[in-house]
Amino acid sequence: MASLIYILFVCIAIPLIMLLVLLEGRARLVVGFMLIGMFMCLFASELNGLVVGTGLASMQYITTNITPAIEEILKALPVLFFAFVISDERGKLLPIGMAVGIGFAILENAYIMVDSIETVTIPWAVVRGIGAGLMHGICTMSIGLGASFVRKKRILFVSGSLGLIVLAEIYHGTYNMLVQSQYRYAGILLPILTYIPLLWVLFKNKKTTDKDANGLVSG
Amino acid sequence: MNNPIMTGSFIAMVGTIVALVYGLSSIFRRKSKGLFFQIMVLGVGTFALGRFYEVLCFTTQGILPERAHLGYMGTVDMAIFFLTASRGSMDDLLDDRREEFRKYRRSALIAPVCMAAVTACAILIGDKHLGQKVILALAGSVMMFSVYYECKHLLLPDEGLYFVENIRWTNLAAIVLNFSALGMLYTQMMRIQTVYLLLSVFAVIAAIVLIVTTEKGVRAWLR
Repeated sequence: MASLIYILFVCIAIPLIMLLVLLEGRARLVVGFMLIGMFMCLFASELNGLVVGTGLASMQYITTNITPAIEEILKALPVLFFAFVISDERGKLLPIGMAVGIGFAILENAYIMVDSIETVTIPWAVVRGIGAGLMHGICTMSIGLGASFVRKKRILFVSGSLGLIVLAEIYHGTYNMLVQSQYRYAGILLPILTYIPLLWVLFKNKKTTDKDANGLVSG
Repeated sequence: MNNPIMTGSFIAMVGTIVALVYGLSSIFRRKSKGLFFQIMVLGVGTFALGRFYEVLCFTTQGILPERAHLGYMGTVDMAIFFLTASRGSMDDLLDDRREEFRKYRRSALIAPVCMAAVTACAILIGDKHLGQKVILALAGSVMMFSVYYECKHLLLPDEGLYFVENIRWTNLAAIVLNFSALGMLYTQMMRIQTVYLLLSVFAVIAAIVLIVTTEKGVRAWLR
């Protein structure tokens, strides 16, 4: 079913677009970027298909070296565009980055599930949702986090953006390599072990910022 | 770990992670300021990440891919960060384009010429995939510019800023690291195991010297 991913995209995207009309402010931004993430997944599937179609390399090589590069570059584009053209506020870039990654993961998981419908189980879904979902989200969120610094320090524009994308590519490649090996549980744990400290740091910084703001208001 | 290339990648990974941890602790605990230092730390960090990817390849698959792999991007990225640090962050401060510095600018050209020669040899000698040649060309081209500025900053006289004097070892270490990293790319692609192992050790020493001397140099200058 060559058009399966397009069917899935339409099924998921149309209700989200209808929801988008009713939303405002940040909620609209996040859902909008989730849709963009899903669109990037469509685009990536075509590019990955072209690469696989050449038959020049094994699937293992392609999935651990080429598809991470393609997918992370595509996912980074909307986040970097937003950061450099519209706003570099960290409060906006982090949820946007996460939304692009999650949108990407939603369509990817849906496609893999339908394609392997005979063998999928609830545990499979939990693992896929947590592993791939978080991994994609974290990769793009890290680009959003980095982009909030990079724009303030202009000389880091090129190297910083490339550095963030390379970081995301290697993280993604690491995840794919681990889940395809005997260390697949390490691969599944990797996004969780990254996400929790990241959340802790972000909440800690937010508390400090709120405390400072309260101090300014009441002081 | 009886494969010298895996051993070399492991040594490079551990050594550069040590340098990275030192750098990050200086930035976060001791609040070391100085964009130059922070960019250098990022550069060493991406190099460490590339080596980590290679060690992971060995651990999960038993071998490195015969073609270009993501670990090489860590080296290319390091080169880009070093160029940003030496050209973007430092050059305008140290060289105001005066006539008296022309001899230093000319003398510094020896470094990119050597880098170009090494890169050309690496691309042309030996049988490699196209992707590997592209990576060598990319890394070599960026490193040519990077080593030019590092060599120039090494040669420039200290005109009372005291910063040039403080970062001479930094510039020397950066040049050694650039050449070692390019050498590591080539010897890994060609499976020249003993030389790869040797270059890994040079790279680790250069990375540690780079981070420590840069941190001390920036701190002395900002005092």
